[in-house]
Amino acid sequence: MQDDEEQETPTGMPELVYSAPREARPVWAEKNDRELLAALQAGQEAALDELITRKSGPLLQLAYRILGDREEARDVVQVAFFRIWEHRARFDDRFSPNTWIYRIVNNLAIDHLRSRQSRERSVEPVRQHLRQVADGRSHGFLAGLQGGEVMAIFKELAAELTEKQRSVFLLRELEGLSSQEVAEIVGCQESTVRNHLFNARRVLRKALVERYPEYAGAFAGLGAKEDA
Amino acid sequence: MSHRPSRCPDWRTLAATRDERDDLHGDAWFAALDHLDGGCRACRDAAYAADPTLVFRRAAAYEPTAAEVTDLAASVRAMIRAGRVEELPASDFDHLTRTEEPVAAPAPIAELVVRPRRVLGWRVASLAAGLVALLVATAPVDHEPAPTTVAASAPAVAYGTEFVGALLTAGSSTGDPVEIETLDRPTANVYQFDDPGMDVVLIVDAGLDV
Repeated sequence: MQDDEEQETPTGMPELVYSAPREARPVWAEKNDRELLAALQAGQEAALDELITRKSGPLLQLAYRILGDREEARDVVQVAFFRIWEHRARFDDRFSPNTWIYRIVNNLAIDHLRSRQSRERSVEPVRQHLRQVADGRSHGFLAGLQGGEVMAIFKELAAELTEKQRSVFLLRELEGLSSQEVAEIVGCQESTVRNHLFNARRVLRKALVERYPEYAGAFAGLGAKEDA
Repeated sequence: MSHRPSRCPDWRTLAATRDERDDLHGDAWFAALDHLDGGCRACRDAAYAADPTLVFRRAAAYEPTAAEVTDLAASVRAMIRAGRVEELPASDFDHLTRTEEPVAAPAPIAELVVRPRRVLGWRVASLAAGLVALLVATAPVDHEPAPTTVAASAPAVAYGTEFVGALLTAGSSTGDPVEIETLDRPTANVYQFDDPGMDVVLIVDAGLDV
């Protein structure tokens, strides 16, 4: 069964198996994702517990990276699992369970992001803090940043992206999904995914250099050193 | 499967190639990413110089604890239960909200509040009604128990020690009921929570789809 599960996971997909003790969930833990969804469709609520145990990690990660807020990510994933239960009959067995689940979470997170834009707090304090951090480091600024600081920068710069660009960049670049999977999740052609990805990278690079010139300086210094 | 190469990749060439080609799945690129994620300090700056957005691979991860996952599962189950309550026919729904049982009914109230489909509408309706009631209830009058008078049209049931009639007369100098709103709504429920120094009265109308 485990082998089946691994075969279903296309190359580049993140590992979705949560490392909880297996003895705590003796039956459902042996089922693959497709079997769990089939059980859900048969009305077996216990299968949802296993799905939550298995998928919470990567889904929370995705929602967190879209929203930049852990509490909101938890809310979104909670509602997503409820949607999965409510709409379980709509799952089309021809598609990947992961794609379907990621799509629900991605859409909910984007909706949430959209709804909170009007009450978004200013990012200026974050930027000032990061500038102070950068001043103390100068060269190698990016290399020295901690994960939380990188997340804060991303949250700020990602505001420049369209919703699709943001989703595509996160799913493809950070979560490691294939272009085909991203296309199914976001609801567009693969070629469009590539365009979104290209544009997202371009926008992020530009914003990074404009808003964090201290980083640009380190970049230039490094380039000069390499050229020499 | 690990793609990790034995020596540092040529980041500049890789990044340029990736931007030019349609194929985003090249093994060399994934091998280089594995190399970077593995923490190689020798080529890290070169990688960021070639593509600054690579730094976002280091964005903080969210790895939930087992307790968080358990809480999440419990919350989802609560939402599912609440959804089932919502789907019950009116006659079945009544026994959850209109029994004469003593105060032992916080659970149905909680389930009513956690209604995922119209959770915002419920919250707004409840909050608005509650605030109006609270304003009247805390009006500067003496707090001698007022005679309990219930508006004839109100089919409300209270889950507290006092009924809303006290509230309805509290703000009136004449002792006549103060009509907040005509409660000729068969689906309206009134909940009262007593607390020293503060009374909270909640009027919940399932038919008021805000």
